[in-house]
Amino acid sequence: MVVRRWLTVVAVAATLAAPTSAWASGPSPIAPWYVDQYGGDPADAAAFFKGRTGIVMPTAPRAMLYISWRLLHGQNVGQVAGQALATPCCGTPWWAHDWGGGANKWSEARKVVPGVPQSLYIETERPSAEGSYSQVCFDDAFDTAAATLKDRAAKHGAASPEVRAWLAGQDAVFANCHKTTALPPLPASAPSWLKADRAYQEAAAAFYDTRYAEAARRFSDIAKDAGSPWRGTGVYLVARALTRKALMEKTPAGYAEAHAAVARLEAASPTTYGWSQVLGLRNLLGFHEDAKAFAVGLQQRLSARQALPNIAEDFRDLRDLYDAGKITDEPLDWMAAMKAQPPRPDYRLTQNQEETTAMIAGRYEAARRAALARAESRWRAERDVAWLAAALSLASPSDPEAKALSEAAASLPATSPAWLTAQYHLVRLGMGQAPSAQTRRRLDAILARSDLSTSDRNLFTAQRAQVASGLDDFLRYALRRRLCAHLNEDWNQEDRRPSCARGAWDGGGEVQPEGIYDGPKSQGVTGFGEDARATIDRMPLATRIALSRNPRLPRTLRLDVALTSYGRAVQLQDEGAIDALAGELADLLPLMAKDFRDVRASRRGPDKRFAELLVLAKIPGARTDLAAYVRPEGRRVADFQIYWTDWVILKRPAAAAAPPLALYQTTGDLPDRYGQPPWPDALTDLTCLDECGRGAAPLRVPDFVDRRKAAAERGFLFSTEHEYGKPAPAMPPGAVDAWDEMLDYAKAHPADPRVPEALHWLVHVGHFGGSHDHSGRRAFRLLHGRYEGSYWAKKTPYYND
Amino acid sequence: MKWAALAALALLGLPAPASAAPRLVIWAWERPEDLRFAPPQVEVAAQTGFVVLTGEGVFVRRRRFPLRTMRPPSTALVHVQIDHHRRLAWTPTQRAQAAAAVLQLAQAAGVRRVQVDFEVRQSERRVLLDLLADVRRGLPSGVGLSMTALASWCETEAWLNRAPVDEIVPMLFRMGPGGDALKVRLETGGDFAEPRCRTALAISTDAPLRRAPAGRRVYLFNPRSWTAADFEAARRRVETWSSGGG
Repeated sequence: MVVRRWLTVVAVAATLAAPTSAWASGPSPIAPWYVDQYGGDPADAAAFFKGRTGIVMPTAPRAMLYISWRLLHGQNVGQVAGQALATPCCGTPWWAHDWGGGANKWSEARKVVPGVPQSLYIETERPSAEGSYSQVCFDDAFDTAAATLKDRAAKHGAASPEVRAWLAGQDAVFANCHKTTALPPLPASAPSWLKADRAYQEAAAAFYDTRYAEAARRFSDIAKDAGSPWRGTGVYLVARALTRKALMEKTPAGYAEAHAAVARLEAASPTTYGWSQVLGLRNLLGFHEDAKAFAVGLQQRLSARQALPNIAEDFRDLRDLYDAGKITDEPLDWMAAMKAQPPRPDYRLTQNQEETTAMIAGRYEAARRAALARAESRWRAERDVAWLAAALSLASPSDPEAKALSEAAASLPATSPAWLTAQYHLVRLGMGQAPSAQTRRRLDAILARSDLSTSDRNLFTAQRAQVASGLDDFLRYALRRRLCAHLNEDWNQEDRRPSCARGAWDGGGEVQPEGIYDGPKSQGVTGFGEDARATIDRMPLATRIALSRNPRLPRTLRLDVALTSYGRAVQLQDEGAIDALAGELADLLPLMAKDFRDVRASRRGPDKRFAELLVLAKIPGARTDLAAYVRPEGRRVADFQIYWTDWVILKRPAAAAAPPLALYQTTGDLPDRYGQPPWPDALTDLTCLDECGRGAAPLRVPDFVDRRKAAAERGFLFSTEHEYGKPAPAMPPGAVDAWDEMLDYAKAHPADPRVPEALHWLVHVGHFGGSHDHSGRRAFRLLHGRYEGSYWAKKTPYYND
Repeated sequence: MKWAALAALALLGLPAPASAAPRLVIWAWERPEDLRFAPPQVEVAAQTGFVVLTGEGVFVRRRRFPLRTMRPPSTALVHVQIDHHRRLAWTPTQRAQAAAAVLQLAQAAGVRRVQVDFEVRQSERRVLLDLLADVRRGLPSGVGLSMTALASWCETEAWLNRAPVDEIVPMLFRMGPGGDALKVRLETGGDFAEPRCRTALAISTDAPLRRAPAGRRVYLFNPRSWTAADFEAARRRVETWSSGGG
């Protein structure tokens, strides 16, 4: 059965119910957790559709950026149009697809005819270009066939030869969905109802087989046959067949013929089957026949102040014409400028990572500069705030255009729909030079508003944290509210539309990071922003300790700061700090409470050092920086995950730097900066994670942070971690390896009851790659040589060195 | 001679010597892909079809996105999944339909290997094994059968040993609980508990593995459409595994 398809989506010609990539298996990128270019949680998305522009994020899909464009130009969007634009094209979305409908429903319906062999399965696609296939037969065709079969079986008997003949014909019709198949002949004695149905089947088969002229002729005959139950569908199906024919032939005569058929359909009664598809068919023809003229119509409809019903489809058609290079369009130019994508790979690849990183950075920079020049010139010429927003998003603080753009941003009235975007970039561009107090005042006024989306609030909060006046002030802004935390649950409910639009776009694969929120694993509602984590790692030990003690900080996050501080305190051999932190950690990490109490209770000297180091031998994720740290989670100490680092205690400071900022950005719109670090700190955006534009957003460490002291301490935070393929850093003279020292202590103190357990953990450390000079093997031999039969020896049956 | 020895090792399910150059396979999933940048020695595994087992039925769809390559893909990948909205009947007819669909979708010139990507729950493992057995029976001689596997299956699942396949490809990304420990073990010279998981593995461009056992067929996944830069980065990463650098 050929039945109507909703054809308003002209772009269907290109994508014909193409699935989203979500249908494929395999994971998708990790999602940002506190900024969202897709509109955020449902309430925020609704406010966005209603008119709250918020900060324009150039990485949003273009259909969503089009919402911003409309709002920036005083055009309405509304809930219906907003939802339509916020839904990825095309076909049935993955969360609503009925796998059991269509062909499967038809297969089920066929069983009504006794003794008919079941078809293995029905292919509904024909080969298209470059290894791809296009769907030819859709669910509604199968539904109509199933309903017709049910009717004919009821009227004429399911086992009757006529119904069997009908079914054989229909099977052949559907075989044409995949390849050319002739229908079996009907006996001359066939009843009239079967002949009428067969005429329709022949027409449908011709249609699926792309014999459109024949299909149109047959449907036309049906339309004239007063005895055919399909007569009412004829006018529409003729128009549809001739439209397909025109698209295939692309001749003036073919288009004229199709237009005439569509005009006949339009002239018919509105109750005529398929009459509502007139506009869709016209659009389809216009799209292919005269792109420029068609685009004018689209642009006129899209320029209406109120969103028209087909806004999403119209926008997609316009976008497709633009991408095909057939038209120009200002909103799409604006989006292209903001996205500032470099051309597809046109660069020579080298074997050197640093060189390649520089090359990629260079390509992005060239694209950014060109886009900035375009946007800035459009802003100067037209004073359109959308172009100001674009230029601002592309500007870096060091650009010559930055000053004038900042002035323009500052002079925008608060009533402008671009005001928040302008404020964000105004702060960003001035972050390095503007007095902190001035920036604080500006941000405090913005944050006092009650109409910010969570994503926008998080962004301004991130900026505010970077100009914090003191530790308390910093803590007030270091925490961010997590967005779309429930997406993971949505994806387990396969029939549910994702509650955040980003889930619909990504289609079920996005992953949010674990172990950084205030709850266990991936649970929790708040966490440190990436910028805040980098700042905390740039604080001196005393400031970090003060932070970890602050009761306003959730316990899990206090643990993170305290444990990384503990690693620092041990490397600095700051006994006061070690004791203070051990006291705190005994409470924050109950599984290790006894170990931390032992640290405090031990006598200063080798005994205490052994206790301090034993803690590090039991916690694989302990590090000195949040960038590399993994929170110890689980029911037992043995559940703690990740590998051990080789702890080293220095006598004199060595040259060392804080972790690259890129290490803190595991989420967001990372450009193709493959290889990750070394991506320059100056190009790393920890505030908006690259979602707010290509302009640089370097981190500002708050003025209150004693960076000199932190740098002096950093010299003692020696790490042997290194990139694979590169040699491990040499141990500085006089440096002591923690595992060596523990083994020496163990040898010298056979009666210390802590030793067998410590040896067990040293073997475990070695098993996970943290061995130092075969410390795992040495610990194993000592454990089994001296404590054979002990609980810890039995628990350690082998070593992996 | 050397190739013959390597082939023999592969047939035995043993890892090739660590010094062998990495055998890379680019996965072309359901998105537009232009892989003409791939060097001749690099294979392409193309997702050619999508099968959903639903109630008593089977939903079948072919690849909908264009794929450009200089050479035909060596591997046809068919993704299979179960529609959990309907209770799976798994009747003999449905079994036959599913296997026929996989075989049909995987038919393409030049294909040397058919790969089934079918993530199942514990209660559905019989379905996976049935399907693999049926597909195996229908494959022409000379065409190998490969399956993807959750990395955790290679650690704890004895049933994997019964899978009638030539290759099991543990996927070392988005591994969930226990994933970190496994990743660490591989990065520090360890290996999968299940020996049959030691001939191939899969990594993702956005979840790089610092080190993994060398000499295996390495499938490269990209959550976005591939670029030459993505490929080069992944290739360089894999090459460090066999260079001793990890």
